[in-house]
Formats: sequence, structure tokens, C-alpha cells
Amino acid sequence: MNARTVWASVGVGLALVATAVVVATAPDSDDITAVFPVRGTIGDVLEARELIVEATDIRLADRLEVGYADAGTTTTDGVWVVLDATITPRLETTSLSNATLVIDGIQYQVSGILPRSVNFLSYGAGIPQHGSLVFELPTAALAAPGAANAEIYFNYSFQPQLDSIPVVTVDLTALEVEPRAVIAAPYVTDVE
Amino acid sequence: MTGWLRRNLVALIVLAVAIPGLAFVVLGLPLLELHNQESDVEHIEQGESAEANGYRFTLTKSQEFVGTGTGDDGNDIPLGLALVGVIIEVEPLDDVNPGGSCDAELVAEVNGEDLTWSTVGDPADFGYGVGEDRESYCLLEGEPFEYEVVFLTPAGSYDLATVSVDGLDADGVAYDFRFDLVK
Repeated sequence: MNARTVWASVGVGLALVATAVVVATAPDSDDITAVFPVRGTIGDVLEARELIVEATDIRLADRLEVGYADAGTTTTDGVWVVLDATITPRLETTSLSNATLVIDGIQYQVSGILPRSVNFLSYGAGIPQHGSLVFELPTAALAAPGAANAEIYFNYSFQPQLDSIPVVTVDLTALEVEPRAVIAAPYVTDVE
Repeated sequence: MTGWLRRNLVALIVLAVAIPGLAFVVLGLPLLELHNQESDVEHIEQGESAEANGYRFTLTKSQEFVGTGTGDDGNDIPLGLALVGVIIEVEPLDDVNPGGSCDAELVAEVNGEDLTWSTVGDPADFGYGVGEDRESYCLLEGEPFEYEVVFLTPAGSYDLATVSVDGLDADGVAYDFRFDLVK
């Protein structure tokens, strides 16, 4: 075996090692198409490409009291998470029926139990609406390690990809579960 | 060479017909269908009419109502916002077949982006009353009517916006008319 053969073998070996490193560290398809989260907490104004979100309050409750319309039975074996927010679409009418609350990677989709809710922002560009998004969780979710940093993604489409999304981070472990949460009718707010 | 051609002439003719034909079916037909679904936007100046699907559409009135607030002294329209009311006259032309519908939305281009507003479901929420003999939905039933729609917009959008009236004609071809508002 001469020197040229040895060096050729070493070169091939190094190329194989480099390839293995690249394959092991390259992002997968989910990472490549992931959203760009615009993060904040209660009180922050989050400006993403299609939505502006300002969350104003977060509550936990056993039952929802919907005073403005008939919402049917609103008791739960788990717990309701109620997020109050002012949401403004920037371009067009927008649906938030794909909004999710995420705890330790487990996604809970927004509930459609509220009639005439801000799940559907029906007026159009630049019209701010204040209302509640509600999520129904199993009680055990509040004891999960990630409950202290639960995230609410304001997804405006079924599979948002490569777009900015407002994400509100909340500490669910710091809240008491109230017997009931009063839900006010959504309304259009003044524009300053 | 000529012997090869003679032996494979039929096969070559079949290929010459089949490949373009297959390309048309696989690519051309879907593109054609997509083209028919997408409409060419037609700009209609104030006072002019547009015709499609056996009907004539004319924007006859429009007005902006700027919000003064939702309190006791206000006009039920939030501050910083405005209602835009639009009336479109819809008349059937000769020998029209009843059927079909149209939709209206308000559109504006701001800083290179298209902004849109959908019709307000219940204008009474903002103190606006639709005319008694006017329709809030554009249902083409062979009779003339006035189509009255209301939009909630940021104040000042009136000067930039046009009303888009779109639908499908009897052949399934889309139309999209952009009417100038009354200035």
C-alpha cells in the first residue's frame, strides 16, 4: 500500500465523517418550515405580520358564565383557561380557530364553545376586537412541569409555516381555579 | 437511417401525438380551469356600470360615517373607525336566467399591501339602518334591487378604497368589478 492509497483512504474516511456530522445536525423539515414566534406575556403588545395581539388577563375556572348568549353547558371535568385579549388583524378578516395552548409540547386547541367570539375576527384590516379565547384542559395539565411556561399560539391558519405568529407565555401554576369565569361579549375597541 | 425511420414511423407518430396530448391533460387543463376561476379585475369609474351574468351593476351612493365613540354622546361607532355605506343598483338585462349571487368587499392598497374588509353582519350594532326596501345579500333572482352593504374600517380608509363586487357568470367564469366610491 503506497502513500497515495493511504491518503485517499483517509480522505474518504474524513468525507464520510463530515457527511455524518452534517446529516446529524441538519434541521428536519419541521424546523425548516417552523413559524417565527413573536413572544411576550400579559400586557405586551405583540406585532406579527398578520396580527397584533395584546393579552390583558388570564384566568382559570371550573365553569364559564356567558352572559350575552346561550352557550349551553359550560362545566368541565378539567379546567377552563380563559385568555382575554385585544386582537387586530392587519390585512383581512381572520380566523383564530386554530389557536393552540401548548404545555410541554402537548397542544390544546381553542374551544368553539363561545358564541360570537374573537375566534373569528370578521370586520377586516385594522379593526381591533377585545374578547376571550378559552381552552379546555385536563386538570393534570396544570401539574405538568411546563405549566409554568405555557404558550398560547395565535395561529391564523391550519398549518402556519414560515410566518410570524404572536405567542403569549403564561404561568398557569400561579393562578387559582375560580368556581366560574364571567365571559363578556366581544366588542370593537376605539383606535387611539 | 431511412430504414430505421420506415420501421419506427408509426411509433414516432404515436409519440408525437401522445406526449403533447398527455401534457395538455396533465398540465394544460388544470391551468385552464385555474385561469377561469381567477378573474381579471375591472376598474369601474364612479357613475359607470358593469355587466356580468345577465345583470348590470351600478354603484349609485356611498358615504363614510366617522366614529365619535360608543358613549352616550357618541354615534355608536368607535373612535378612530368609520362606517362605509354603499348602495349598488342591480338590474337584470334581457333574457336573464335567475340564479347566482355576488359578494361585495372593500379593498384598498396601502404601502404595497392589499387590505380588505368584509360586510358588517349587523350594521345596527353601530347605529346604522339599512334601507327598508334594500337587500343586504346579492341574490340574483331575475328582479331589479338595491344592494346595500356596510363596512367597518379605520377612519380615512374611504379615500383609498374601492368596492369589489365579484361572482361567477353562467359559464363559471369569475368576474371582479372594482367600483370607485362617491367622492
